Amino acid sequence: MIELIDVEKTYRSRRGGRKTVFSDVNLRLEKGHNYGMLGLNGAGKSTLLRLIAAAERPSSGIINRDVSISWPLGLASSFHGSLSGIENLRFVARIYQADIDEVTDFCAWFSELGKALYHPVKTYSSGMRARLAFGLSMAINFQVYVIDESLSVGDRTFQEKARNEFASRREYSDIILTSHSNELIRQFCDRAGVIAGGRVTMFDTLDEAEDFYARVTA
Amino acid sequence: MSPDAGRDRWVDLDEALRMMFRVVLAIMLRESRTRYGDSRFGYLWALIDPVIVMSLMVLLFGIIGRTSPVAASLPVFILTGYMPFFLMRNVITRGASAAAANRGLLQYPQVAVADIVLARIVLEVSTATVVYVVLIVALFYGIGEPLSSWFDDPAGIIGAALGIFYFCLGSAFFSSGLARIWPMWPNIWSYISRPLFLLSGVFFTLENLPTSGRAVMQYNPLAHVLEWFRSVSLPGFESNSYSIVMVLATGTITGTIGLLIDRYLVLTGDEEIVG
Repeated sequence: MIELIDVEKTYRSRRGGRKTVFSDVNLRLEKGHNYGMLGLNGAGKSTLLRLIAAAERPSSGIINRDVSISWPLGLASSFHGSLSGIENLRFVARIYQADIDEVTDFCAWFSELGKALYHPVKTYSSGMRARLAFGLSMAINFQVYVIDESLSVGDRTFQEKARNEFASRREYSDIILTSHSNELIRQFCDRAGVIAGGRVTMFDTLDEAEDFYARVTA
Repeated sequence: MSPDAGRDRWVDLDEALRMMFRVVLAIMLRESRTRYGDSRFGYLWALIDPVIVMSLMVLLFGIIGRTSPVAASLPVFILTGYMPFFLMRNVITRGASAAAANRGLLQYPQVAVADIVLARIVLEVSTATVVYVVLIVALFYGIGEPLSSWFDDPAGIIGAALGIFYFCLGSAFFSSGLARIWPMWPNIWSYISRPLFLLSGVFFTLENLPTSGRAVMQYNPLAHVLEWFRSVSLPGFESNSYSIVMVLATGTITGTIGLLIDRYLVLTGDEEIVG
């Protein structure tokens, strides 16, 4: 379970003053459910995922987690462009204490990058990058995968592969996925929330969430 | 508090330190591949840079008809000054860009800016040490410069090396912290570091300066570091113009400020990770 209690997040803006992303977020994400988070660009989707994944601390409030959570799989790549896919993969395996050979084998199979794994990541397309990032995170077996829009960059085959992989580990792993559109969330999630105006509103069904999202973004 | 709670705290600390060690090591390996650009031979630049500076200076001193200001030969004099300078300038530069160049890494919850700074410091110190040793050996075989020219007081050299490492720790954390709250800092440092090359004693010793010059130079901590290192390294050169306290105090003050900025930004979460 992941629980956010009275979470507030502000940044010191470069131009002076403070920017408030979240003012009062309370939410409980339960084991056994895949959550979708709907929000417009700039609503704070990435920030919410970074808070959940413990990449950042909230300005105030408490976040409780009793599960292992992936790093936020996002469009902003954590890979170093001039290192090869393999070298980037080794780095991640090292900091997560994973077996480098196992991770390499799994990534090679999942990402279908072939020889490109040995080329610098800066030569990759965004789809190839997403495949590598996904393969890598799947190789490390987290209980919760935090995914920031990046599924949308892959082609259909890739999305299908990701869906099959998640389906095969439904017992063990859950997903938290952000998107600005319903379509992807329909494919992967059974519950959804809406991020708008510095708040997060959770719903038990996708229909309710989509209705609410349509109303606040209209 | 139960005794178990106390023991748990030690177990937590032990686990945290192991994690930090693992992360710093992984970053070092990664940085060593990217430090000097894409080329596989990029690292040779760390060796070529001091060789160029030394050769140019030997040439320049020859043209203007000056000799080494100390008993040691000119290459030894230049390198015992340039290598500590090269190291200190590099750690400050690498500290300044540590956070901005690695935003992507901060997505991993176990990676903190402090790990990146520490990894960069250790990498720069190791590189400079290896380069220094390689140059000493190369000059021994190349121009027959005796090894004893470099090691007047071995215990003193170890002390000075530790002092330099401490100075590097403090100044790199300071530089990193400053850059995170003041994005202009890396640019400003690049302007400061250029005249510092001329003003830190790579080409002169504090001891040989006129009193008026020394009065000004004593405010430059880098000049004290160079003077200290030469004083223990060069046979027949004992300087009274440097202060170890000055070096250690600068390291302590800059390091404290740097760590305070780091703690503030981490604990308040007041730093945008994705710009």
